[in-house]
Amino acid sequence: MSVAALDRIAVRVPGWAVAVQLARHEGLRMVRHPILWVGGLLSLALFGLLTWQSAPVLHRDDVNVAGALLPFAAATLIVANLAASRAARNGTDELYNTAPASRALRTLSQLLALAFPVGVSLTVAGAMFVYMFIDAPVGTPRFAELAAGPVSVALLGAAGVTVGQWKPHPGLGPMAVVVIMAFEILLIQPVIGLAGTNAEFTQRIPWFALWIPLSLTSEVPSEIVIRPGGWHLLYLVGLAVVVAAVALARDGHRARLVPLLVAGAAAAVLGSIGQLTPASSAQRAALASLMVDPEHYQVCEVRLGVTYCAYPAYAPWIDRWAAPIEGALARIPPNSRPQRLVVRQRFGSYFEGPVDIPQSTIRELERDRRREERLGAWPPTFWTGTSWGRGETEGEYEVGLALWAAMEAVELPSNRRELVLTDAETEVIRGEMLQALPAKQRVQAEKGLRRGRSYYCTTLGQARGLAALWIAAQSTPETRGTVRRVASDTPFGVNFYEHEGQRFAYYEGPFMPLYPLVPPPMWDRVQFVDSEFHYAASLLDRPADEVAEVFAQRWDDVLQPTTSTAHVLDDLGLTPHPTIEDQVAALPDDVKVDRGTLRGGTTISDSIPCF
Amino acid sequence: MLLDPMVSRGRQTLQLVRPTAKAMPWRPVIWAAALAVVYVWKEAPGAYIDYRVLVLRVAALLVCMGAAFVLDDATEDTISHVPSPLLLRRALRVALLLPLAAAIWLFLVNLAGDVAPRDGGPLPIGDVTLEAGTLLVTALAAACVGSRVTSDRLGGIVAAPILLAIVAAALFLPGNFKIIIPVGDPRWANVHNSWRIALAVALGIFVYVNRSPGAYRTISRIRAMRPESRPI
Amino acid sequence: MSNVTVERVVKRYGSTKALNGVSFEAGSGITGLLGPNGAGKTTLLRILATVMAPTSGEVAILGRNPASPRDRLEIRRCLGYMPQEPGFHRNFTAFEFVDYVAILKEMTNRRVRHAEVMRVMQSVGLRDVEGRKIKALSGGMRRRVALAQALLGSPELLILDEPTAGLDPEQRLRFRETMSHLSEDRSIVLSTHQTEDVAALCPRVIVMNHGTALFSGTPRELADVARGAVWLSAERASEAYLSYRTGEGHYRNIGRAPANAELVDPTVEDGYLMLLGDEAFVEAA
Repeated sequence: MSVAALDRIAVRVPGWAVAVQLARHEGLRMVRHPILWVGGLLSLALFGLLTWQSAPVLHRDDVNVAGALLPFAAATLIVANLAASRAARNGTDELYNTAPASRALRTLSQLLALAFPVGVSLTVAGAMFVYMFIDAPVGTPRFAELAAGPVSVALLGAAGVTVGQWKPHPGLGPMAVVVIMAFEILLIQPVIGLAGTNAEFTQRIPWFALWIPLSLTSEVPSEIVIRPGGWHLLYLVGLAVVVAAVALARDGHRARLVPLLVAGAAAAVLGSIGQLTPASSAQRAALASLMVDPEHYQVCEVRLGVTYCAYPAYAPWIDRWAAPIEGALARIPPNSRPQRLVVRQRFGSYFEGPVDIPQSTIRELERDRRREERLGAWPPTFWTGTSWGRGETEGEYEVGLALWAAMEAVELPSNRRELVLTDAETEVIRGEMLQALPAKQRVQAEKGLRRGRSYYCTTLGQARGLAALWIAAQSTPETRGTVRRVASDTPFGVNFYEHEGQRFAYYEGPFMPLYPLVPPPMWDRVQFVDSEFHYAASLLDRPADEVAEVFAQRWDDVLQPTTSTAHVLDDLGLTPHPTIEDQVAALPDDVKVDRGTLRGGTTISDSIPCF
Repeated sequence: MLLDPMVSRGRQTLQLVRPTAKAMPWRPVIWAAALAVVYVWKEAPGAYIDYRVLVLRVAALLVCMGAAFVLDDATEDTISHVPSPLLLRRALRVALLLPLAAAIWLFLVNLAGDVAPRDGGPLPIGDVTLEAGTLLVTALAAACVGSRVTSDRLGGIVAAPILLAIVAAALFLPGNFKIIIPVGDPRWANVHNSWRIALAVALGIFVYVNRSPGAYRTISRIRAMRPESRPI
Repeated sequence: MSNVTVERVVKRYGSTKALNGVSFEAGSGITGLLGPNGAGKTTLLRILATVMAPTSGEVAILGRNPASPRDRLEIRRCLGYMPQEPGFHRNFTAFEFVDYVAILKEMTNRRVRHAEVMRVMQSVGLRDVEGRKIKALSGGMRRRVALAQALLGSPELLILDEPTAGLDPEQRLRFRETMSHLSEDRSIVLSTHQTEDVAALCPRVIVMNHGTALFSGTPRELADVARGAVWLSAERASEAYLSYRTGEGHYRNIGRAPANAELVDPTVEDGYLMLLGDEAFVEAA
């Protein structure tokens, strides 16, 4: 009901006129209070923190909007509490009680005044939306999820008025905030991962909390959790009405409040029942189908020979996936470009926290993935998820896609079967490939060769490893930025630390410093290493066309597993890295060497060269 | 009537103990402690170490918010002109609060119980106590700031929201600057050096804000020191 | 020698100037500060009580410079202050509260201190209720408790802000008696709205408005400001700034007297009103 409408009623009903005017007076005081401003800023900051590294997904971020408004709601509680307790604290109760406007009317006006902070919360939520729309969001927000934020503001504000009326003390508002937040954490424990992995979300106790996140420990797609948002909204509204009735009960007229109390309680109980009811088997089966048979639901596009398939809401993200792949393919000689690549979206199979997918479905998916990993998907398929980066992190998402295309192009193993070596391959590796490795790594590789198979293989010293990394690194401006940043943050070779005034040198090992946030298949089996990564990063300083030309001219050679990185450095204009031993030898006398890391860190255990 | 100033200050302090204890508002801290005890008793036993530490942190926050009110003094305006320093009066209140705060904290830690190694234990009592102590000093410093800026000189009303805002802001600190971290985090020892610094800063603010009211700006003070400025 | 010297003192609160270059001197005896609300009286008294520093200007109290922390401490040892709105610990008895302040005033000898507390309670007429809790005392009694704590230690300088507010006529007369006795050998600076108190007590009065001192002199001199401007009439005089009916049935007028007006001797109040000009007459009306 608008304030103008209230004014019209007020003309006919003098009590309402007083209540409206008092509500305006109190409401304006509330929204000018510095605590409310701090709450608003904290809410905006919290929303930024929750979302600034993720591309906006409206049916996930609607949940974040409600959660981000919690600091504002807490500030509203404190400010409302101060307003409600002001007369008692300042000793003006007696004076006000001589006025025609009753205490009950004053309490009512304080409750009505909450419309002002609720209005401000809508503005804050609006600002959050503007922030999301800057970056082309996907999906559709849900009204019930969005509305939960402002309703929480009203609920906590009513709680502040209630506490201030029944027990006027300025400390009780902040204490109530702490108690409520502690209760909130207690209730949402199952959702934030403490209930164990993949627990079924049949225990819906968390929904008694103010705000229930999707999950705070992993990227759980909102599609696979059936959120009773509407019931929860009803529950919150019912609670707010009950709390408001308790505030008004302080001033007598309790018989008149009974209908309000009953209505509020009924709404809260109905909402509780609704939100406690587990998802039906039909709903859960439908979700399972969504996960198990994505092909039935997804829209697909073919670009430059690569097929991209996405769930309909995420179709605009095909542009995001295509950019790094096309950037990579552009630097691969046309005859060597991998064919029939498929990029397909899925919801993932490993979650921490409760979900609404039947356990049987999760087990089935796990089994399918293990099989696929062993045998390899055909056509070669990259499985993307339902999140994407924003700003600096976008490159960390893109680099995985680009690297996958490059790995396919340079014929690195694309499934576990390819890690099992034939005798002939073993002989080739034992020959010149082993000799190209550093001495200590050679010993490790021997161990793997003796077994005839390896859990994983390494591209250490292989020209094709360098080629794949450079192709991926140069694919988009974001990947270039990411690779440069990581190369700068983790310099190659020996690093230093101080302990009790003494400098130590250490080397963490030939491990790849960059971890793609959406890793390509076989990422944990085909190991890239720091030396090739830093060479690739250095190549970014040269014109891409020149580097591509060098690789193109020697492409067939580069594809050979036996072609070492050293063979292409000259053509690429790169200086070989000094070995770790050389770097150690060149250290000043005042630096001690952490022998432990030097001994253990220079090798990848049991890893054979990729064939 | 005055004895040697050093002797009389000590005697004065002893004589102030009883009326000061009587004047201090104890109820907020006692209520807060009661809430904290119920919370820890319900939540801590049997929980994994990170959750137990979280529960103790929340309990400390509650108690500190209640403790912020012990510096509230309705007679501030009446006694602002007395020769006894404001810092003495406030420090005495803090000294009277400390045994109670320590007892409450010990009880809470005891209630939280031992953490078995399989649950990530033992509880880092020293470090969590450092955090609680820093929160307490911060709350008291905020209360002193509040009593300077509010017209009724009641700082607790300002300190509690300030403390909440500081804690909320600390949760937002980016990776390298985080000071609220889980127990297993490798940065635990370094982060608690930051807590020690925060404690020192809060203590410094407490002392600075409790300088005598009516202090003149530096220029006027310097002028006052010059011999020609002293009246005959 | 002046016990209090104030020279061109300015006090700003943000963009508001509470004191705008006030200057005066006060020696032994009682100096009254008169002025409308917002004139700056309380601000000036707080500066004299060393609980607030001026923005600029020079202040000397009892021969010391309050800008120096050491001097400020010494001043406080010789100072008694009663604020306009004294706060109390309501669950203290009157005796306990005054005793507490006495300890804060460094009276560490318990026997001597208690004797002093009883003395000041006696001087303000509260001996009979000294065991009663402050929350059970009337408003006037609480003001007397506030006055009692200001009298502790027989300070050389007493700063009293509206000391007679809320006192009944008998209490006000007793207060005058106490003040006149005390003023024999110390300086008292008090602010008041009651011109009768000023007339009765203060050999010297300062009238303030808008942060400046408009007048400094004796009550007689203040009254003389209105000499020739106060007359009686049977009817309300339309040409007067202020015209009111007295208890005797005629009208007392203040303003530009007509030629044949029956002039009367002006009072301190008349002089005060004439001094403040139009503003005062609007307020008085």
